[in-house]
Amino acid sequence: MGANQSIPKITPQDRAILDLKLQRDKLKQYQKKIQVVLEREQAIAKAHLATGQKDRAVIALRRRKYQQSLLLKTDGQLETLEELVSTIEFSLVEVSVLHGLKQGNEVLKEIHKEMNIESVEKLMDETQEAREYQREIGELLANNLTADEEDAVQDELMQLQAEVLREESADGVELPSVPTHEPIAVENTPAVPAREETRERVALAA
Amino acid sequence: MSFSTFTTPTGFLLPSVHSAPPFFTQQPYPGTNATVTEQWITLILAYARHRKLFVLRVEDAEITDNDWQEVVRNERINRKLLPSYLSSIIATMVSKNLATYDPPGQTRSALLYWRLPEEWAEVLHGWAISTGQLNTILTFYEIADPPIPSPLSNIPINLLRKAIAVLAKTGRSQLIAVADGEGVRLFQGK
Amino acid sequence: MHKRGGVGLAAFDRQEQSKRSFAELSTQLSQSQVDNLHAQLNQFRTALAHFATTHRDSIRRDPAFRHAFQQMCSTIGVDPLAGPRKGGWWAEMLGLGDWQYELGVQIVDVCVSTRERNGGLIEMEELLGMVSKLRGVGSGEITEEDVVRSIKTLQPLGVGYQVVSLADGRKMVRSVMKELDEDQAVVLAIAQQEGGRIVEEILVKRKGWTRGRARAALENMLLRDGLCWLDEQDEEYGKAYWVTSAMKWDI
Repeated sequence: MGANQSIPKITPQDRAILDLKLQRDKLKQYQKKIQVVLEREQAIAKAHLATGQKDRAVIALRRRKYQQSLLLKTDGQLETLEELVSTIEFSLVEVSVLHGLKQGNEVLKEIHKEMNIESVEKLMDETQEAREYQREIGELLANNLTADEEDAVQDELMQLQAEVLREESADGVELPSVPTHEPIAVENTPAVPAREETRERVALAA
Repeated sequence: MSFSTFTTPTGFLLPSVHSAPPFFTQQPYPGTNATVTEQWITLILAYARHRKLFVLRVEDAEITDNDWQEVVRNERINRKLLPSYLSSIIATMVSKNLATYDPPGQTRSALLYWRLPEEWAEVLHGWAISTGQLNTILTFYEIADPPIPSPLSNIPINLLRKAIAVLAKTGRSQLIAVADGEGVRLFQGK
Repeated sequence: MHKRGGVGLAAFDRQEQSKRSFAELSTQLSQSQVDNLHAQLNQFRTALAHFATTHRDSIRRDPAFRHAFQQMCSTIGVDPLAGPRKGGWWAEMLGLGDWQYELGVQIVDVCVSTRERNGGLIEMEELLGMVSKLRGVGSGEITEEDVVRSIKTLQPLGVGYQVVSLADGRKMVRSVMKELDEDQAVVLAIAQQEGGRIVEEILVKRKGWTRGRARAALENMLLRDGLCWLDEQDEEYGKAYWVTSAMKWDI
């Protein structure tokens, strides 16, 4: 039942289930037949009553009663059969579940084999070592620079930052200068150095 | 005067050609006959699908009061399909694989393929999946007469057998036989 | 020439020269005439093209306008609607040549798709209705005249499309290569009035035909031409013929 890919072999259980189900079908068909008979007997009884033949109507009804008792009996049998089929089918499911659990257990065992405490500890140790090693390299690299070199690096950093800032502020300052197209352009001359001052100020601030 | 469609008591919409008197006579001119017969076949299959009818007999044109009444007769124009013509229509259907004589060896009764066996195979497989009956042993009786009505209710055993055979080709079915009868087990397949 | 020439030859030379001048003048003149003609033609072409482009939609959509345009064109000896080949560059330039062929294709489409139920004979009215349906609402109305014209353009294809006029003035379009004889035309006309049904008796009574003639005409239509269906359950006569092209269907 577990594997769908290939067609399983027909086991004796399979045949037994099929046998049971076929018996059940026969009972169902038999019930259908009785149902028809029941209806017919009732029709006959009615017809006899209509023509005033009471005795015959009673006989028909008696026959009907008998058929009804048969139907009840088959009902019981059908129930037993259905139950049996269900039980077997459920047991088969249980078997397959058990089989699945067993397989799962095996797999789990295999996995645990791979994951014993020692190898985990060893792995953890190795990881720790690797981390230490990494840290050492970092330290070594940091310590290898002289004080001068470190200063130079800091200077370069400052310069870079300043440049970045200048570029940003340069864009920002030029914007307001555009609308100064007033006819009183005499005061323009001091305005230019003022702008340069601003630039310097910004550079210094950075 | 013009010919129009008509809705039958069972809710089937008959095409306008069904109200044309000559539709019920077999045509002597081959071209016309082919056309008219083609229209009959379409009508028969559509009606069979509508009423879930599986069998068509020449007899259905001979006796009144059968499942095919609404189609093989038109009381409004007082016409009926003649048995000889119905027999010829059935023969055409068989030749086009839209029906098969069932039981084989006679030409009075045919199994209609408003679904081909291949299509029935898929219906059967789909039903088994949706009702959780894969890998279970099923009798033909419980497929054809299930407690809850299904698309397969009343399917003739011979047609069911064909559908099972189609599924077997792709490893999706397995026939099991015991002394008392047969059963089938369906699988998921690839 | 001058170097070689003496005094005597000078006269000849002069003559030559004047001859040349005349020739030049003549070419000049005819050139200007041709130019003039070209200019006129260009003007006409532009005008017609302009007319056609501004009114193309009206030409395609409005049957009355199309008719007027057709007449105008035919008085000056061009037929832009006659299709790419016959209409020549007029058709191409005005972008109207396809119109007639397109209609032709639609007519063939309808005739072929209905052939199996009408035996290749369709009533003009039904054909018009179905072609209009095929063309959709946007393409404008078409008239009987348009259909007749289109069928004419189909003639070179040799497919046998033909307009048949019935005794009562109604027109039918035949799309199979069969000759309708006179008797069949009569049968057709009567069948039209009867909703398709026709029996020998009607022909005998109304047309004074002999029974043999009536039977021959009907059997020919049934068995030779496939133009009608047989009904063997006719209440009145037991056997009736139904002319498919005269049967009316609600679809």
